[in-house]
Amino acid sequence: MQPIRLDPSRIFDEATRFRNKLAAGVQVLRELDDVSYGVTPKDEVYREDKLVVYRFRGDRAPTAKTPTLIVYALVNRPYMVDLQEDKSLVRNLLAQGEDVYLVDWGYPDRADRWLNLDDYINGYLRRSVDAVARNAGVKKINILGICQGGAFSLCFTSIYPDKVRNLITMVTPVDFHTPDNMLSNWTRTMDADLFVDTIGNVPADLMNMCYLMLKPMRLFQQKYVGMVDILDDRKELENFLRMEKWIFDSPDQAGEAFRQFMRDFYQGNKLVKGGLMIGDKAVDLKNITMPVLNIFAEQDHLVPPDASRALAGVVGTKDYTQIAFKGGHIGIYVSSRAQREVPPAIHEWLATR
Amino acid sequence: MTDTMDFAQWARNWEAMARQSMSAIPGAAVLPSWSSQDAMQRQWSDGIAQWTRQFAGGAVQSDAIERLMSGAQGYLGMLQSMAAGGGQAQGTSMPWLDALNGAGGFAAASPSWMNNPITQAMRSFGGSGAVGLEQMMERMVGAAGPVLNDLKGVLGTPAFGFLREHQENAQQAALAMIAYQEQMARYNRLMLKVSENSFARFQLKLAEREEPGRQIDSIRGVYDLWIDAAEEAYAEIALSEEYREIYGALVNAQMRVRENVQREIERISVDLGIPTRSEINTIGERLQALRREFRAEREKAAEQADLAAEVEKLRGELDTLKNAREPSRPSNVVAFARPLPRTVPATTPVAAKSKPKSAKKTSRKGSKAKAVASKAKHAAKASPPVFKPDRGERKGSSSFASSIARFAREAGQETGRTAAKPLKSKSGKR
Repeated sequence: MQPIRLDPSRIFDEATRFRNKLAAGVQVLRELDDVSYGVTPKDEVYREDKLVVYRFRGDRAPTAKTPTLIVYALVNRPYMVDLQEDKSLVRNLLAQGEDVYLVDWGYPDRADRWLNLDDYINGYLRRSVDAVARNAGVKKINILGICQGGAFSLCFTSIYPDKVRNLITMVTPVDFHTPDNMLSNWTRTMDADLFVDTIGNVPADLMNMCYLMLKPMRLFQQKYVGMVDILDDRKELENFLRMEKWIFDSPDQAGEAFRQFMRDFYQGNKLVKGGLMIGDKAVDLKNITMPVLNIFAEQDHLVPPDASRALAGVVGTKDYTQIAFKGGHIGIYVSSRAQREVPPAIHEWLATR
Repeated sequence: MTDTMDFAQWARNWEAMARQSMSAIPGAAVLPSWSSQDAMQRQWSDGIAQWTRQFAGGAVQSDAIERLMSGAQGYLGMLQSMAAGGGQAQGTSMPWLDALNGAGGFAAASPSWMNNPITQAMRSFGGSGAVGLEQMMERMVGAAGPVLNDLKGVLGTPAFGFLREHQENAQQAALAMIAYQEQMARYNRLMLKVSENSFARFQLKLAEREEPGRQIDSIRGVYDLWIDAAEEAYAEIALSEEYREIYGALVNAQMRVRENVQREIERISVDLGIPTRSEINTIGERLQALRREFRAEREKAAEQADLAAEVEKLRGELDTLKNAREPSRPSNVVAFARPLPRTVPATTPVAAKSKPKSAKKTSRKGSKAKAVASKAKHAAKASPPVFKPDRGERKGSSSFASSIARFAREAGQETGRTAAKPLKSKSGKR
């Protein structure tokens, strides 16, 4: 039996449908304004250089006594956690009664080239945590670290355990040497020093190109064929373009921080192997003895699940919880399943601690 | 004629072409001629171009449109190949598949693989040393390509004489460029392997669909299967040690080219008295080091100010405590009223103000002292203790600190535990 059975009229229908979608898209695309994002009102509580810490305002006052600070990655903009009204981790956490803060690292420029991980973790992040604690009138806060921000949060919590009450990590790489980690495979033989010495800050376009090359056919081609399908649906198209905006609205990476992250995390795998120093402070994940919730995505192509699962074996806490989310690295924030499952899971976990 | 009218015309033409393609199928013997396939392809390509032009110059999502058009090419290519071939698989030979693979294979259909877009992106950065890199590469490839081996030999000869440094730099730059081209060729060979593997995987996947109920009945279905096959083949290679080595070597080679170009630009800039990137980097690095030092010092000062504020507060609490315990102190007793010599910086009051509310609330020493004060107050009400400060202390034989210590001891006896630690004089003179 032939594997492909194409009815000639079906080919014609497909071609015609494709054409019709394109034609309809002309009108819809012309009428669309630039997409908006970041829907939840927020107040600035701390500012330093390009970094800003925000506190989000919910429809009602938070019931949680301990604030939760979201620490996002440097490589993308943090508004992914508050993309639009019906796709917002922040909004859903607020609805659960959490008191939510967020670190926005800003867009480093060439004047920030010499910022290293010591500046980011022992400097910016520590002062942000202090600012949130001060603002909330508490000694310890909850930290919710995402992706690279999760790795930063692990380092921070290990160095300053007395400042963290509960630690939540989402899609966070811990073991950078799992065999399915493509990014790690690519960086292992790169000369990190030559790279940063030559290029300085790492341009956002280069970072984006690396991410696209993880799945080149899907991300360069198939995705846009799918876009044609929704060209005549204004709402869907807006959602699509909002995601596009987020994906390509990336900050450059401060050269020194990038150098250290590549060398110590991607190449040296020191979070797991040990020997990681942030400035003059040693990182030992055994110091993390407070409750830890680790959430990862089962179809994550950027941070493979095994890279996150490794946390269970290296933290010092006896109160460790792990949640495997059915979805990908981005879906864990924006899918409808994520809206239903992730914020309540975080809230319930926090509420019992 | 406006673009919109062009587009409408293109849509009509497309439909006509599709009909023509379909009309060729019933007999299955007559496929559209190559010339008409070419015409069809032109029509579709032109149509897409027309469609894209609808947004030319507009501010609305032009990047997304560009990506859409670029991304949809693969699907369109398949659509037109299959339409031209009638979509029929004839035995093991599928004309559309042959056509698709024939024009350079999957690599041609997925140009995103070749020449490593990441390194291409690196070449186009506007950062330091980028100027001229692209042109230099093109010139180098064009000029040196046919005689690379001979050239490498020449470039390896030692430099000498007055301009030896310049000559050596130029030789290194040229060698770096050649090395980069070699690494890029290795990378592309690997991508061709991906291309071959993709095709093989695609055929395997098609074979799996021969089972009843699993057949594909849309071009989109075929396209998605093709993407799956290509991604799997790519992932297998991209996760391999071979890729790791080749990719790393490629990036490192490109960085060496860039490094050489930068060095040359810097040399020229110095000759012309223009500030260089290295000099700016040096300034930036020093400035950041200073900022770190400054912040560390400022935080240390703030900590000291906090400590000083806490001492002040404790002092106040001790005063309160003392007053509470001394209901009928003679008016000439001033032992506890004498302040310690001031060692607090002038900024103390400001620092005290800036002390976090939380810290004030949770100051353990402060709350201990308050607890003692409260207990002492109750005890005083019950049976006022006899507490006689040693008036001789004022004359220096006993210190202020020892008074506090004695007081603390007494309070401890009263409450059954140590109430507060005596303050120690740093100098030991008091």
